[in-house]
Amino acid sequence: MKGQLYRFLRNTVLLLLILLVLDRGIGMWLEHLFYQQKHGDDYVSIYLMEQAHDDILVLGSSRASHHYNSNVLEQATGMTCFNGGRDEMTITYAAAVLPIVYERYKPKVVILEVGPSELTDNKDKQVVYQRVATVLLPFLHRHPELKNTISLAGNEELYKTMACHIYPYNSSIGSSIQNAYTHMGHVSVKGYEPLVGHIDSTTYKTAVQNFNVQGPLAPDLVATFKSIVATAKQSGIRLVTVISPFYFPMNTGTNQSYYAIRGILQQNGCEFYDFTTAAPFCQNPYLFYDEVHLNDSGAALYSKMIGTIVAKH
Amino acid sequence: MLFNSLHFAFFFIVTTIIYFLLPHKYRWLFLLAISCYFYMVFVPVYILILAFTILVDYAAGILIEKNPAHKKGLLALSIVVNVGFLCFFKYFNFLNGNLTVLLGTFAAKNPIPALNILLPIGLSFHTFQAMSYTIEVYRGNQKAEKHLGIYALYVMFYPQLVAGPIERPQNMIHQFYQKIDFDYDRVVSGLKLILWGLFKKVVIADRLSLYVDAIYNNPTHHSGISSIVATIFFTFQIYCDFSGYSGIAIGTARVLGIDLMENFRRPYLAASIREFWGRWHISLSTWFRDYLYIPIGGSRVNVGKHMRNLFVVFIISGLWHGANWTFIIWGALHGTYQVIELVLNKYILKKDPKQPPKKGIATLPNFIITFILVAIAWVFFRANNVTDAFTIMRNIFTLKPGPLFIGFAAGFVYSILLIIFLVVSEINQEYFQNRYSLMYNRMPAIRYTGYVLLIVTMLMVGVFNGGQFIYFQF
Repeated sequence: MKGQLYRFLRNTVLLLLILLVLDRGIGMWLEHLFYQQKHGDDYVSIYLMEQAHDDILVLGSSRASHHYNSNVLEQATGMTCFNGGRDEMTITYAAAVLPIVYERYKPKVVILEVGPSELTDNKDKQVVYQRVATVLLPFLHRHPELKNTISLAGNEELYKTMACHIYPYNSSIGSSIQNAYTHMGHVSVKGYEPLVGHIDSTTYKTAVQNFNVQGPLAPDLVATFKSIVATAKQSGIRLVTVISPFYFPMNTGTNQSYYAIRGILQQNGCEFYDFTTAAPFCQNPYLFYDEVHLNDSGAALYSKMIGTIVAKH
Repeated sequence: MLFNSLHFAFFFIVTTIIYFLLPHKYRWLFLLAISCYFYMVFVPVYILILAFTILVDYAAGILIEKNPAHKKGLLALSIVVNVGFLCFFKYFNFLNGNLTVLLGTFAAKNPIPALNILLPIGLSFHTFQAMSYTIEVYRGNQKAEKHLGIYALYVMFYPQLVAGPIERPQNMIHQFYQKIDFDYDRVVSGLKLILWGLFKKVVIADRLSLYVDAIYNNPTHHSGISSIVATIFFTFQIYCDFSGYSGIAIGTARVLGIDLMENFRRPYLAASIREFWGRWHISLSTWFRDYLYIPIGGSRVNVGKHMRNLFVVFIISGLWHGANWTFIIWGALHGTYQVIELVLNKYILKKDPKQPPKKGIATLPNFIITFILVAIAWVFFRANNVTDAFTIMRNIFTLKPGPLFIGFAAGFVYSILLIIFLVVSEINQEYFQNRYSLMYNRMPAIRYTGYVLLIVTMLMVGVFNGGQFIYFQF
């Protein structure tokens, strides 16, 4: 039995050594490949954290990436602009990324796109944390300050990243190669991703997705939002928080989250603009791609409005 | 605690080392303690239900053996307790919900409120395993177990506690008394099963689930071609998910020196529905065969009753999977397939039922038809509700126009490559006895290359937040 145990331990150590060497080697190669990307979702985060020097930065989820046309904003304001919005990246992501950006340079304006229920407690919060952690993991080695945000998804993610160099780049090889060496799927302009086509108003009769969920506030989300506001204030950066248009009119009158956002911004003397039911967007099918996203024409018109607001102050 | 979590990896390594360091006489106690911990990680209080049923079945076993005159009543009592818990937790809200709908059609209100309860994890599995014990003692095939701890371990042995394989007492109980030494070959073969099972779950099943969920959670917005692709993906997803789980369970038990029964034998290489059920979830299929199908007459009755027996078994099998009409329709579809196959073989093809199934290229059309029929039935198994299932079916059979949904392009390509890899690997196992498998090669260098490739692929393209195994919900 002792001989068998010795053989097992010897072979296990050998296998672990091979894996260790491969993990370091492949991990380094994947990291190199990851940072070579020239377009795509990960590129938006790479640019924000490593390269951006633009006057205006836009942050938020898919509604940010599809609603803020960087070129239109540049024309309206005379300032350079980059749209750093990413699908499903809510204020948790913005709160993690912005301090890294501020450490490198101070943008003149940060436009933060939020939803009316951004601070509402919801059962999918953990899923969102997991998604944010997945996006941020490849940056952890370079920016250890992301640790706190990643750990919201559970400490397992941190342990896995510490133990394994390949893990942070999990599932990224295909998109890294595509975005580094080809133009496939390259549609964004300075981070802005246009959506082409419009809503068929005969099929869209009632709202399918509820962006106006009513409920108690989530204390951790409130704290996250407060930290975004406080960091911007400390760094002397103009923070413009906006709710961009929705296709269906919504009543935010009883939404606690909506009032909390407005209250926090008011207390800190920050700007807040609500386009939830603004004309000419609301219920105009020719300006919407779907019920929550403006199409390219809608985004151009909307960006011009935002640009005018930014330029005025 | 999920098999695909870091928590389990740590738990398995630490407990296995302690297990082999302990003297044989204390190992059962250690296994029982860690099995309790494993179960209590989910919902701690539910261990009390398990403890109660263990005590009832333990006592029933002894009493059945001691009182042959009353053994029928004692067996019935044990079954009522087991099935009672199962019905209460699993079917109460389903039956009550249907009652509400029924009364609603007569403009009446159902006075019974729905219960806000969580289904104890693995309830259907350990209930069936416990029932197989009392039935086997009743039949005289198994001696009543006098050692309460060993009997509890038979029900609670952690590798198969929450999702099987559903074991039989004749295969399991005696193994807990055997002195087990560390055996290199056994441990390595167990670890290989764990590795392959993890690969199937983390790399294949959870990767496919990303596409499947996108389509099945929003079927009205997708085209016929996307629905077909999602259904094919789900067919492989559920296989890799469940057979992956079974592989890890069997491998974990094997490392500890306990042999569990085979649960999957390359089911998508079956050339008939009957053969499919001889290869899919074998521990459940044989449970239904031994404890339901044969007792109600099986095939040794006239054709009409034989058909009825097949249909009843599959309806109950559907219901076993979940308290939802989707599962009942899934079971009914398989029952219908079996009945049609019976009629075809008996009256049209005039096949001898005892003849072993044919193999080779001649069975290719049968294999394709079987695969398609099984895939169609999976639509009901996966759909969130009956309406969604019919929407998917309509999308597929009317070839609803629209583009093929790709989603994450690289992920879609990985999915197709992984399915091809899986099919090649299954063919290698079925027809070439793993001759071309790197992991089973005679040369250590090639074997190690196989292990390393699997682990590195898992780290590079595995989905590590894919969540729990599908069969955990049953």
